[in-house]
Amino acid sequence: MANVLLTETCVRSCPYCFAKQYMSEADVKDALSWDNIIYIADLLQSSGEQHISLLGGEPLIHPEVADMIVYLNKRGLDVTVFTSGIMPDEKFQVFAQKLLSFEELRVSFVCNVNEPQFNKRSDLEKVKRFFEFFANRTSLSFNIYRLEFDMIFLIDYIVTYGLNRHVRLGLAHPIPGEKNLYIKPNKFNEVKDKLMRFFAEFEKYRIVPGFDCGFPMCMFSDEDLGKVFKYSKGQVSFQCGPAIDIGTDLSVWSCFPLSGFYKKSLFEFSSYQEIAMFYGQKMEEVRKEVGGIYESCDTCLYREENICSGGCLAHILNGLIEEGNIRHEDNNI
Amino acid sequence: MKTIIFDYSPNLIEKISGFHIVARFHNVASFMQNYLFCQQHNHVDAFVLDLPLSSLSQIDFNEMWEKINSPLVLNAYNLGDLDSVFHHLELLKKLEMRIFLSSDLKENYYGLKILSSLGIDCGLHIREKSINDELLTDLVSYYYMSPVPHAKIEPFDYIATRITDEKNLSFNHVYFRDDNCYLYIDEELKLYSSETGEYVCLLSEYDEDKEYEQNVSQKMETYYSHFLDLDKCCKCSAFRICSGMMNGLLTNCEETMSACLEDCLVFHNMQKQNTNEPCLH
Repeated sequence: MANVLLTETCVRSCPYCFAKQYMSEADVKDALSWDNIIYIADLLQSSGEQHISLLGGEPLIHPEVADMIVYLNKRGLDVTVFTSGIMPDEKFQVFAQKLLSFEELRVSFVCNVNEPQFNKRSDLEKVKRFFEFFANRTSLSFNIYRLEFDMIFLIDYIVTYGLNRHVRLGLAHPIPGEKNLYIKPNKFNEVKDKLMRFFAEFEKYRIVPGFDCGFPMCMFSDEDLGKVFKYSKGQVSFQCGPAIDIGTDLSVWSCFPLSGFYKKSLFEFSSYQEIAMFYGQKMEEVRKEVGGIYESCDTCLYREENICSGGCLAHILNGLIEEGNIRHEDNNI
Repeated sequence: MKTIIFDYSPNLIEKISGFHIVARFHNVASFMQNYLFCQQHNHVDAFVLDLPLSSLSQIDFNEMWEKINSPLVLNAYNLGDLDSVFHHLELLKKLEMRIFLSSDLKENYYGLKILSSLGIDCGLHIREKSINDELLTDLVSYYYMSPVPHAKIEPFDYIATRITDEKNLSFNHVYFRDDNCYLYIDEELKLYSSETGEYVCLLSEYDEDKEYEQNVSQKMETYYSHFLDLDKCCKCSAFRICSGMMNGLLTNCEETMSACLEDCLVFHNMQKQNTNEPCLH
C-alpha cells in the first residue's frame, strides 16, 4: 500500500516527528499536483493495487484534498488519510460538506493524537470537531516517544466520540543523522511494562491495539506475547518491510525514518511491485550486515525465520552514522 | 450532400428538414427545448453545445439529458467545481457526449486527464490563441503512454485511429472544420466552406461535383504554398498529422508536434501488436 504525501507542511511540531527536518524545508506551495496524483493512481492501478494512503505533512491542508479523495475513490481506490484532524475552521466546513455529500465514500481516517497537555487548546477543539463529523470513519494513532507516556486519554476519545475501537501504536524512531525524540532500544522494556497495563484497560472497552513496524518481539516475554495476541485479536506482527512513501515531487523512499537513503524518482519504476522489491532488497542488504537493534538479533531464531525483523532499521543506521561508518550507493544525504 | 452545420434557429431548421445536420446551440435552455425537434425532423450527426464562458459544473445535468440519443459535443471553458463532475459522473459516462475544454487554460490540461481517467470522452478545444508547448506535450504523452485504459481525448484519438489510413491528416475534422464533410449555412440559406470561410452558393444551387473540384483546387493551392513559401511546415515531419494547423499556436511547433507524432506512432504500433495485425510502419 503506497503512502502518498499530499503536502510537505504540517500544522504541528511534534518532538518525535521523523519528518521534521524535511518539513521545515518545504513551502506550503509544495503540494501534490493533480498531474502527479493522476500519475500515481495510474501506476497503482496498473500494478493491481486497490488502496492508497494519503499523508503529509498534514494532508488536510491541501487546497483540493476533498476532491482528490473523491477522485481516487471514483478511480476504484480505497483511501486512508493519516491526519492530525486539525484544519482551519473555514476550510473544515467545506471539506466535511463535500465529503459527506457522497454516500458511498470509501475513505477512512487515522488520526494521530498527542497527549492533551501537549496540545494548544484551539488545536484540541479542532481535533474534537473532526471526531464529531467523522467518528465512524476514524481510528486513532499514537506515537510513543517518552517513557512517561499516557494512553488513557485515547480511551476517553474513543468512548466519548464513538471512534473506531482500534489504536495504531508506533514507537518513535530516530531519523539517521537528524535530531528527533525517540525511545532508545535499551528502554523498550520500560515501554512494554506500561503498554501491558494500558492494554488491560483497552480490553475493558474492547479497544484493539495494533503495532506499527519497529517493535521487536523480544521486548515482550512469552506471557506478555500471549496477552498481546489476545488483546490484538491475533493481529500482531513484528515484521518490518518497506512502506513506500511518495513525495509531492514524485520522489520515493522506503519509509520516513529512512527517507534519506536511496531516495529515487517514481519515474524510475514501472510498477509498485518493482518499488517494493527494490527497497526490500536494500533493507535486506543492511540487515545482512547488522541483524537488528540488539546484539542478540544476530543469532535470533525468530529473526532468522523472519517472524521478527529485529526492530527498526533506523536505529541500526543511526548507530552506523554515529560510528561514522555509513555506506550508501547514491550519496543521498 | 455534406452535413450542414448551423447555429440553431427555428426558421432555419424547418427549411433544411431531411438533411444531415450538426446543430449548434449557445445556451443550455435553448438546447434542452429544441433538441427533440431536431432529432425528429433531421438526421442529426451531432449537437454542439457551445458554452465558451461557462464551467461544466454550472450545467444542471438532470434526467432530461438521458433522452438525448445523438452525439453531443459540449464546449466548456473549464470543469469548475470538481465535486459537481463527480456527482454526475454516471450520467456523463452514459451520454454519447464529448466534453471539450479550452486550450488556453492551464488547469484544463489536467482537467482532461481527470475526465479521461474517469471514463469520459473529452477533447482539447484548440482556440486561435497560443498553446503552452509543455502542457500539450504532457497531455499527449499521458494519452498515448498511460498504462491504464482511459477514455478518448481529442484530437489525439482522431490522429491515432487514422494515422495509417491517410497520408496527411487534418484534425480540423474533430472541430467540424473539415470542408470535405461539412458546410456551414446561414439564415439566408447561403452555404460556406467553413464558419469563416468562403461563400460556396445558395442551398438551392448546390452542385456537389462542382464544389468538390473547387475544393480540391483550393486545397492543392494551400498545400503547395508551404513549399513555395519555404515555411516551417514544409520541413516538418509532423505535417502529416497537423497539416499546418498548429503553426503559430505553439512556441516550438515542430519539436512539440514531432514529439506528438512519435508518441502516436509508438501507441499505434502497440495497438497493432495487441491485435496481431501487420504493422504498416
